[in-house]
Amino acid sequence: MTLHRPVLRAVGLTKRFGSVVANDDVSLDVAAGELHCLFGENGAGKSTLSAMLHGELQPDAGHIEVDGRRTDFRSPADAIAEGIGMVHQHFVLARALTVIENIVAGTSRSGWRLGLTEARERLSRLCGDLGIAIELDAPLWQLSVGEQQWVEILKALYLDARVLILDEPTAVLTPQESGKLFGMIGKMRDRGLAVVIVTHKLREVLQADTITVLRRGRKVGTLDGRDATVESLTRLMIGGDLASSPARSSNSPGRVAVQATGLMAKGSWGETIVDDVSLMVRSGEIFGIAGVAGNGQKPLLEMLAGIREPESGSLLIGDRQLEGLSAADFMRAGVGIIPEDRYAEGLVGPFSIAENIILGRHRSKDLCRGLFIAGDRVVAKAEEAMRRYSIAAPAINTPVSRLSGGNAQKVVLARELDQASVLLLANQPTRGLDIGVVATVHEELRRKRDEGVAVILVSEDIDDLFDLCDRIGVMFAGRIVGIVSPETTSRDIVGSMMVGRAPAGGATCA
Amino acid sequence: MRIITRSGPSVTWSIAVYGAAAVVGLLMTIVLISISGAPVGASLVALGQGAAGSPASIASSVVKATPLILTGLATCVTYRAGLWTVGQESQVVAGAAAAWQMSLWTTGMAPVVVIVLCVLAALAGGAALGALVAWFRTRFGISEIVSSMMLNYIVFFALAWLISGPWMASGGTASYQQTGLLERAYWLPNIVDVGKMHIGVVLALIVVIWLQVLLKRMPLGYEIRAMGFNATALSQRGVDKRRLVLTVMVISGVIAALAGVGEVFGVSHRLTGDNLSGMGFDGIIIALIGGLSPLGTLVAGLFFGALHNGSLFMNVITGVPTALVTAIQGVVLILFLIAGAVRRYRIERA
Repeated sequence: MTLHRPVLRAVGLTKRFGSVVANDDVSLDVAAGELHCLFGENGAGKSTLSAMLHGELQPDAGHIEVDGRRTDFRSPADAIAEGIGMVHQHFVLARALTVIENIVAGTSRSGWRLGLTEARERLSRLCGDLGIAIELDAPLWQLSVGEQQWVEILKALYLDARVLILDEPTAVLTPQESGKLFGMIGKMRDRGLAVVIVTHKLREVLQADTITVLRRGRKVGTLDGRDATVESLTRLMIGGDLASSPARSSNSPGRVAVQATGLMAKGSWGETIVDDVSLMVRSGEIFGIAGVAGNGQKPLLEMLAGIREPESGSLLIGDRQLEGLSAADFMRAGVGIIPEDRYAEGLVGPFSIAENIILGRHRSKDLCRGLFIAGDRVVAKAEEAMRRYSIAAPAINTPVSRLSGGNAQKVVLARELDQASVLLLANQPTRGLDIGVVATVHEELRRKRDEGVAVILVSEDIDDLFDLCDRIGVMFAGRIVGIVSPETTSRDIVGSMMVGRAPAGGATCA
Repeated sequence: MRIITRSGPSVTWSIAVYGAAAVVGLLMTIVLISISGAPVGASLVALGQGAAGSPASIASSVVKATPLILTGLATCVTYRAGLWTVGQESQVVAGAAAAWQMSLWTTGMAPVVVIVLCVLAALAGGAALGALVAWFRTRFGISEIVSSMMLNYIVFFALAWLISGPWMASGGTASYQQTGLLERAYWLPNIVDVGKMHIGVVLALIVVIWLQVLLKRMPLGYEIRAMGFNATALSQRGVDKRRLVLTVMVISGVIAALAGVGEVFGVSHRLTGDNLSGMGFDGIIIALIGGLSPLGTLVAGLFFGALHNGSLFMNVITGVPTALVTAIQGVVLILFLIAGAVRRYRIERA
């Protein structure tokens, strides 16, 4: 194990939710000055473990020690008092407040005064130590996602955190921002802080000093970062070897499936969010859209799905001009969409699997009999979908809100893949899913492509895009700033295009 | 302490919880009666007799329940769709007033023609009011709660003007305004010759069954339920939300208007300032007690119809104020809402 005395120690933590054991007798030691990685598939129990470590959940068995003292966290406040800080994947910040206000809010130990002057001094020192430059008086909404994460980190350190837990910290960052984050983590480590990151990205895990691998709620191993390899980690994580991903399409793309010209969209304040985007995708082709979230990918896909009406521009799908028509017309033309947020946009939570499978097709002739929805046909359709996509659920009338993220996404897949006969739109279809479901999703996208459907895949994960796509368009500030071929371009170039820097000297080979 | 969702509450648990709520409701009723100073035993007996002691009192209870069931159903359909309208009150009045105007226009025609036209006019009146709320919402983004509440006032004062002016019966006074009595031939026919068992009772039952089937089995009902849970997902899958809001509000208006025309043409046979008031709000409570299901609303409506009716008799026999029923209604609503929460969640001490 480590040379130092552990600052944070978990002993035999067990947590049950009903009959599900989320964590089963998990122990770990985190030493001061180390980067400790909690690694595992989604659903392996990483989030539950980190929730117990910072007091959000209480273990059913086992306990947590800080500096060798046994603690009993009843709430995150107790954990913060012991110097355990947490940075959530989805930030907990007030957009209208400034950076310094966000950091100081709720931390005052001197009654009603905010104590901004002392805070400012301490924060500038902290920023200097971490090597970051941030305008403390800027309102939060002006900050990039990466900078907002700095605010979360500063908030934890401002409260004298000695252990900092980061949940999926790079999920929303560009490669450059991720690099910067790991630079900061390195500096924190040098200052004697213990940093725990929760992740399922192999590339990040390999930078850790110590790696704790979880599978199905159990700890399956603790590795020294120097000894770990991609192969050993993968094997531990999934309990076997993954089939290597097949190559891109070999068949030549067919006729034009989508031709968008000069699409424009405006946001709720009248600002331009999609700016003169033109693109053409052929059937049998996967077209990737790379970009940091919030650069117009979502409104672009919404226009392609008929959910949002373009301010201007024309849109040809299959052989029909569709601009200005309704979402129902787009569906009739063979467009399917896997939305970014499956619970908010794709599924009706309290509805059963069967009811969700027919959403949007509930009036179609093959599902209705006379005035009524034909229950038996719906059941048949849902059972087929459950078999075909191996959706794990007690029954077809289980509400989708009770399903795991992966199974819920399979319900969306079952419906939309069936729907998409000409064009399939997928916005981050693997976000938050475990590696098994990710493989299923990728496999299904390839299958649709092979069937001769045009696929447009929006993703922030450059690796995924490079694995899957025939061409990649990079979006920045509402525009497509370039279309590259993954065969002849490097990931770094796409990364810098994503933050608005034109590739120096054009696209070079990978 | 944490609140935890029960996974799939069992049927026995549900029965136990709602049974307990009913028992507590009864106990609180007894407390309320004894506070009023009346003998508890005799009052309860009178309440029961008045509600269901004879064929005539049963018929009277059913007639009392009919408008409550209808306004309850008008609530079910909108609340299931996530449209929180409180305009049932004005839709009832709009239906009754439109029918009354039609009866003035058609005086002298064959009774069948008059009655059919009056009912159709009522439906149109309720539909128009519902459509107005839908239009405010989809065109201008005005919350249906606000617009339907405001329309209640407008319709209320419009009715006050009508019955104190254009429609005022000769002999009406400034303190009690009403229309004249409807001509006997134009009354809604009775289905059985007991009390005022008019044909509206049957219509209400038909609407219960239709709405139950609509929500459970038909594409429109599917859309209504889906909109109530997640309107975004529904509209992204090609359903026109504006049209759906309009449809739901029109259905709600039509059903509430049936209550209005049934009361005026089947029971009171004249429009007064107060014989329709409160029905819309009672309907909201009854639909909520009935769990926003049409069959549940039928049961809750019959129960409170009977209580309303029985309380009149109890008032005569032992002097308990009829306002007791309003109090019981409130108590039961709170108890049932609590029971609903207890059924679905449990508290775990950490």
